Amino acid sequence: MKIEEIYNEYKHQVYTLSLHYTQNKEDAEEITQDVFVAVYQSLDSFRAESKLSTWIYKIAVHKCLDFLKHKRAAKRNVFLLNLFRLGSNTPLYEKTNFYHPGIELEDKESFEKIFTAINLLPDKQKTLIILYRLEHKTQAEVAEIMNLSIKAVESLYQRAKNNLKIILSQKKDSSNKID
Amino acid sequence: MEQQDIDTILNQLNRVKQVEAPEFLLTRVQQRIYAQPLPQVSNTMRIYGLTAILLLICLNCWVTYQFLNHKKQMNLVESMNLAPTSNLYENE
Repeated sequence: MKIEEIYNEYKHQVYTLSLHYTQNKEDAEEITQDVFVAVYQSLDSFRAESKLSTWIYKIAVHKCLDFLKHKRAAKRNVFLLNLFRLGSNTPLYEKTNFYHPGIELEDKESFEKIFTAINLLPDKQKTLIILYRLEHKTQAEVAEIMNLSIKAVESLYQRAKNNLKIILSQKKDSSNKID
Repeated sequence: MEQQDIDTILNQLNRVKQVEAPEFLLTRVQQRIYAQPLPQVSNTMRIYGLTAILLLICLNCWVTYQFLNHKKQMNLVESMNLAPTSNLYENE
């Protein structure tokens, strides 16, 4: 199978998945490129033990988490640099705006809150919510993509839900205090 | 927050639609894939290169040392008012 065919079949899924993770246009584009380059480079090692889509999702999830890890590290470095640039008012790192074209404009505000809460979850829980609730994968598919058993996926999902509940209620409390 | 609330919130996520990837991405992916790879240098060549550089450095040190040593000798000869060469056995 040629990379162009694979790209045409999975480009929207990979791009959407990247957007779920980053909520940023440029980052999602960069991750999508990285994913298909990685797919091309390791196409020979792909054994048809799992579905091609599962394999591509595995690579995509890995690339997204890797990207976010590097971005967090870069943010930390910039924070330290900003500490030493006391005279300057312009920050080296500027917070990016929430971007997700898959969300209707009238829902943007409420979804921004939900995505902010999802972003605060640990990587595994975040991946699970994205794959299960946003990508509508079955528990078996999620288990295969994340290299977990179905039981582990179930308990991870409960933990993710509990954590989300805590994060969202904390946010609600703090916004009530501000009001 | 109740359990029902979190389920309602998570059910809202069903409204998130799939997004279409920009058209130009394929060109960029192809550019990255088919770009000329940099010529690979084998480990043997690296070892040869390193050895050559080390030899050059050693040669350089030796030449410098010889030059300085010679200069030192000439200074000594000059300070003792000696002839720099011995022409005892040379025919005049």
